[in-house]
Amino acid sequence: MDGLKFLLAAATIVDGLLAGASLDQSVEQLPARHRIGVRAYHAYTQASHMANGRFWLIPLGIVGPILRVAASFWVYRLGLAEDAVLSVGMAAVLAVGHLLLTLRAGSINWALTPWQPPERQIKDELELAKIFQSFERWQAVRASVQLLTFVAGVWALVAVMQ
Amino acid sequence: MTLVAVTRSLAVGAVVLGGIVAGFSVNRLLVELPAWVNLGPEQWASFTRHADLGKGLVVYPLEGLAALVCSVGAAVLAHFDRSDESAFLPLHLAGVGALLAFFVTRFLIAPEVLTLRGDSPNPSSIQNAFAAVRSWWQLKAGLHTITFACNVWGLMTLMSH
Repeated sequence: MDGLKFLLAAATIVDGLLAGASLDQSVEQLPARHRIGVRAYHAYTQASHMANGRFWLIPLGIVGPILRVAASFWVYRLGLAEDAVLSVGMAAVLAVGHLLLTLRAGSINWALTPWQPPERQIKDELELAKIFQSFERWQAVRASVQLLTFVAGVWALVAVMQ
Repeated sequence: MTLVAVTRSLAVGAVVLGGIVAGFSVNRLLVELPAWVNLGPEQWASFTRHADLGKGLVVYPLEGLAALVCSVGAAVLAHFDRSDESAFLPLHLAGVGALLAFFVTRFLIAPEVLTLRGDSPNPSSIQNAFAAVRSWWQLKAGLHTITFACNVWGLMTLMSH
């Protein structure tokens, strides 16, 4: 039981860090491209999310769902109260959901990465704007699901501790 | 609503809001600020004027203050509601961490960011502001992370008694 509590605490910390980073991207960073211009924003994303970001955000985005799914199996096996099973299970489903949404958002952003061969590098402002617009929509959904995962995770922690 | 329920609600609020603040702060430290080192402080100043001094001027202070109120509130109320003493240490650490993070943000980082508000701040003041923000942000992100972890620990202790 102590192991499960530790696992849920670790998942809560991972999900909180991820939700905060993701909300910042949706609320503050992506809208700033309308004022600084898509070219400048493109340079910024290549120097941030596609540089150091991949060593921080990708591990968080993978570790969170792994911890959540592991916790849901554990809770199920222990046969805890219905509230605990429901909350931990919901957090796990949401975590898998944001992992899938990350795959979708990442596939849109892939066209903008610095690792594209020179002939596929996108320089046209209109095309950049279109890709960022599409990414922004998926990112908004992903950030919402990541926030919900975090909130469901806190509920799960409370339900299991009671 | 009983006092115990208020304390627990504040502890939950501190975890949720504090987690978001910590996530944003650590992301800025590890991902965003290093990017501005490569792109140059003038680009950082331009982005900051449009982001932090735009919507961010309202969203982040509100979010940070709400997290601070929840952390300090839970730490104070735990004394009066007969919460188990084992919850005092994490809740007090979280309360102190949240207060220190507030002071770092309000008195060391915000004044530097606000110098960018003019139409054309000179390059040397931008350079100085960027160096100061980068340096103090390490402390801010560390304090928010410690506060968040202590709030999770505190909530677990509160709920287990």
